[in-house]
Amino acid sequence: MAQKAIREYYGKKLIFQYLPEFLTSFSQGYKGVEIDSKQLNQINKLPNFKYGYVAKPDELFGKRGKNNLVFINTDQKKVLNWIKSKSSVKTVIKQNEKELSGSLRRFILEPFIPHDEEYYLAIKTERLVDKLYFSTSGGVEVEDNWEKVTGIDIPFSLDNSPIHSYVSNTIGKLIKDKQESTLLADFVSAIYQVFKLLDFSYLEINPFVINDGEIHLLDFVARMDNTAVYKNRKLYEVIGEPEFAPPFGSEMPESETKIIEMDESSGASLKYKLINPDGKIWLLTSGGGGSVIFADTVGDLGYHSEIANYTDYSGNPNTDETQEFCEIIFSDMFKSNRKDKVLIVGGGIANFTDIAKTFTGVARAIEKHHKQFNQQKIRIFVRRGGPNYKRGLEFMKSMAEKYNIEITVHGPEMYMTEVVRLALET
Amino acid sequence: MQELFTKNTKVIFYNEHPVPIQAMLDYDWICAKSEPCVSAIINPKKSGFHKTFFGPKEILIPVFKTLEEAVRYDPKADVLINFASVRSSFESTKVALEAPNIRTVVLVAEGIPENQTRELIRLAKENKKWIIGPSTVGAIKAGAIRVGYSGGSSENIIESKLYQPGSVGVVTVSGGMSNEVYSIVNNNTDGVNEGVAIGGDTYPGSTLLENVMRLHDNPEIKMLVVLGEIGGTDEYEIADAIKSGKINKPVVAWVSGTVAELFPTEVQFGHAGARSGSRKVSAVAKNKALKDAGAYIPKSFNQFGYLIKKVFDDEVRKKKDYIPPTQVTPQIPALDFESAIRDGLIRRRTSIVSGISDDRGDKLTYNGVDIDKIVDKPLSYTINALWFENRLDETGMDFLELCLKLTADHGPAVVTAHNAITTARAGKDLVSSVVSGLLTIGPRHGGAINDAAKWQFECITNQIDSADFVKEMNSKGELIMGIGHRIKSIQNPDERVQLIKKFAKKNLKQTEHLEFALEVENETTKKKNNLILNVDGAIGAVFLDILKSNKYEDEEILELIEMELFNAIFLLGRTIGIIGHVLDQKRMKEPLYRHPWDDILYK
Repeated sequence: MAQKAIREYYGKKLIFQYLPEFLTSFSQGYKGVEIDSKQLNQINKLPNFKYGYVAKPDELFGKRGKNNLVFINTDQKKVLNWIKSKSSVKTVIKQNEKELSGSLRRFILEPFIPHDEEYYLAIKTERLVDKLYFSTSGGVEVEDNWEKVTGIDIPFSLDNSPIHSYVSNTIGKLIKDKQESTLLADFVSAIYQVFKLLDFSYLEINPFVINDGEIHLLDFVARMDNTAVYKNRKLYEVIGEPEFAPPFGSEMPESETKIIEMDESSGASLKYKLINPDGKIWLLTSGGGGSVIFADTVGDLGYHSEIANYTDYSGNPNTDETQEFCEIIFSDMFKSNRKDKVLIVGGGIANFTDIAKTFTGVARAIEKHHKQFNQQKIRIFVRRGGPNYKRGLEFMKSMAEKYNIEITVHGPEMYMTEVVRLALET
Repeated sequence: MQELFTKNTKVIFYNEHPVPIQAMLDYDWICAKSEPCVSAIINPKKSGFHKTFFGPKEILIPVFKTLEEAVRYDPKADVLINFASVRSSFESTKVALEAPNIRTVVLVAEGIPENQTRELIRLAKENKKWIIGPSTVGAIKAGAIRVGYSGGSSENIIESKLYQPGSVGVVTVSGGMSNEVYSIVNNNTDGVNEGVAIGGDTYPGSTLLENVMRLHDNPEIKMLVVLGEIGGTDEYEIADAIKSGKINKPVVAWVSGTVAELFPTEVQFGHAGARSGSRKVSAVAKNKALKDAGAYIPKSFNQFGYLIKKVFDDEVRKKKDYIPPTQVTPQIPALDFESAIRDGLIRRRTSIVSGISDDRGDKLTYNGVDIDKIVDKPLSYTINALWFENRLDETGMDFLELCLKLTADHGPAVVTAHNAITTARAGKDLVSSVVSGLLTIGPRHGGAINDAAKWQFECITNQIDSADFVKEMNSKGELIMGIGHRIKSIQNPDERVQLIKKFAKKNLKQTEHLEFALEVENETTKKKNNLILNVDGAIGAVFLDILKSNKYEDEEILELIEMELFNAIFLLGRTIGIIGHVLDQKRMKEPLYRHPWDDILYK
């Protein structure tokens, strides 16, 4: 339910599909090929490109040049071998001062375009404007040359933004060659219109180049507003249903994948992230805002290393969904050998969620696995308020007592995150 | 600035959602207001009235199809509470932003495309209107009005004293957490004056700062409590406003999302706007910026309440001009019948008892069996579950299945089909045509199974000899039900009866009723060769044998005969055929049937 990264291959396919609607001279057709490294041996022939191939991973991260992950060659065999070698080892990249490691699976193969100048274009949305960033000094060093980047604010309006005049004024000042500046201004305006048409929320083309009087897009990173998918389904048809893959470096345990699938098919919101499988504190928290605060508090009280997971279930999941969701999380919790595990069933004072109902699903899941709770001596701490909370708490309590599981229950009379301190200190 | 919400504010509610509407009216009642705040409801599909309670009394709120009509009805209403679905939120909000009377739109839907929200923001700015939301739970102005679900249950409203205005203004991003913060503020200060949740979208219709300033400008508010979130840079605007002196009341704030530092990759939390990215949007950086600007920031959320208390005591309560709020007694709304029942506070006699199915749970059940376990079984399994308290065995079910097939239809000439056909041809609807066919089922056609079973059962129970029985019936001049056929005879047997006999021979160990019925047939056919055991008689006899093999007690069998269960088999089977005939006639568009004169003898 938010801005999500989209693979370069799909992003470019969309751009190439719709750009001609706003820029009739652009009629290239997208020549790139998507390669799934798991199906490498099924590829016998690659398309012929005039100047050879550019191969690079398509795993939702940029700065591939800087991370030595772009391969240029004219020999098909060498290109495929490079993909094979890159996909068979763990790859570590640097992004936002963090090191991310993971396996590269998806690659993109495109024609190599010889060029001199490299241009830069990025568009991002803000509350009141769309921000365009343009530079004639694009390429891997663009961030180091940020002073050469010109920003243009386009006041946002759904139906008519005065895009062309803004862009041609700015670019006209930057580029003296009339023909070149017209070509670029037309291109940038058209890209902006496609950006808006398809509900992109971020886009960066770095670089794009001019060869034989035609513009070519080399590297491309984009995010889309996935809440707009329902209304744009027809427009997205060229790529099928848009796939919003998780960011690179977040290789997921099966439990997380399962919950993502549940989340996608449910009207409720179900989130789960395993942080430290050997942590002491297992969270089963609800509410988009409250869940974050519970996890924060474990860390803010000085126990970062004890957070086992982050969880959020909200938006009124039904009893069956809640039970299944809990059981998936429990399966991870039961795997750890720690002797002092604690399960926090937490939440703020709900506005309209029926606590008795949601706790039925949680209690059923605990009941089903009560043997493991007993064997592993997992203690449960509950804190929740909202409609029917008294019955919900009572229900949890009697269920745990029935199976001799140690449980502490609190309603809104206790400060919300005090339950975290209790769990940590006892 | 004119306040958005006061005691006199009147709202129009978009979409006829009874629960939040009732919640708002209950709040009005708790605050002892003389009239409810919702003056009209918009329901694009219907107009008329909406029934709801104001205190103990049931009232009607007018329902209109369009905002235009609602505004015309109450020109003083200046807030639209928009509970439209994601897909219709944009259009309905747009209309409201362009309506002259409406000043504020509260937008509840979660998942509105960002560009649509941005367009709404542009329109709101152009028309000088306020949007609260999207994805908001609403707002609450203590003692005046609650918007939507804000404040939670009536119980919570009373516990958190949200019915009387205190001196603290609260702005949160999260709707779920707003209620928690109101409770914290109530426990640590003199109470909430106004609270608003702006919603967790990337682009809220009105920002944290806009709402902070709105509350800041209210002289009753002496202190501000803000709960922000990771993602976006709106908290910096508050920091700047504090630094520049635009905000000169104490601000206690916390930005959640410090846990994001532990995630290896970018993380998207539950709210669309709560996404980690650059350092600048991190919770840590935003907390620091607010602190540097002069806001009060706790070390963790766990100390938020403590810090709120400290700042309130030091900066508000200890001031010379501080006047504590007047204590008000809330007016408790009458208990809802449903919740009183649920909580066991009252009891009521039920009017109906039902023993065969239950649709209250997650899954529909037929006699205790989940519907999804029944669907892959033959139809007779469903009949078994719904008709019989003591379930029949497989043979019993197979027999039911056989009977349904045998009795489904018997051509267009029989009276069931004939009646249905003439009714359908008279232009009547499906139900009327089918029923007119069914109504002919009785002692002379199809309805004899039960009466046949009756004598068969009585003769066996009382060990009556077949010849004696036939003799006795003869002497009384009574017909024997289940015996006799218009056309078929001993030389020209009814194929259906043969099939039933074959089934009984193959599947049943004991067939005393069938044997007895055949003995009777043996007697009657001596007199006339068409006095054979017919389908009705055969079904009755074999079904009795089946009940016996299922260990049914005699009283139970008598009860089934009493309730006409034996006839139900024919009734159900034949309905299939009757429907077929009606559809057949309608398909062929047959005109009205008129019986020919020459087929009638006029006396």
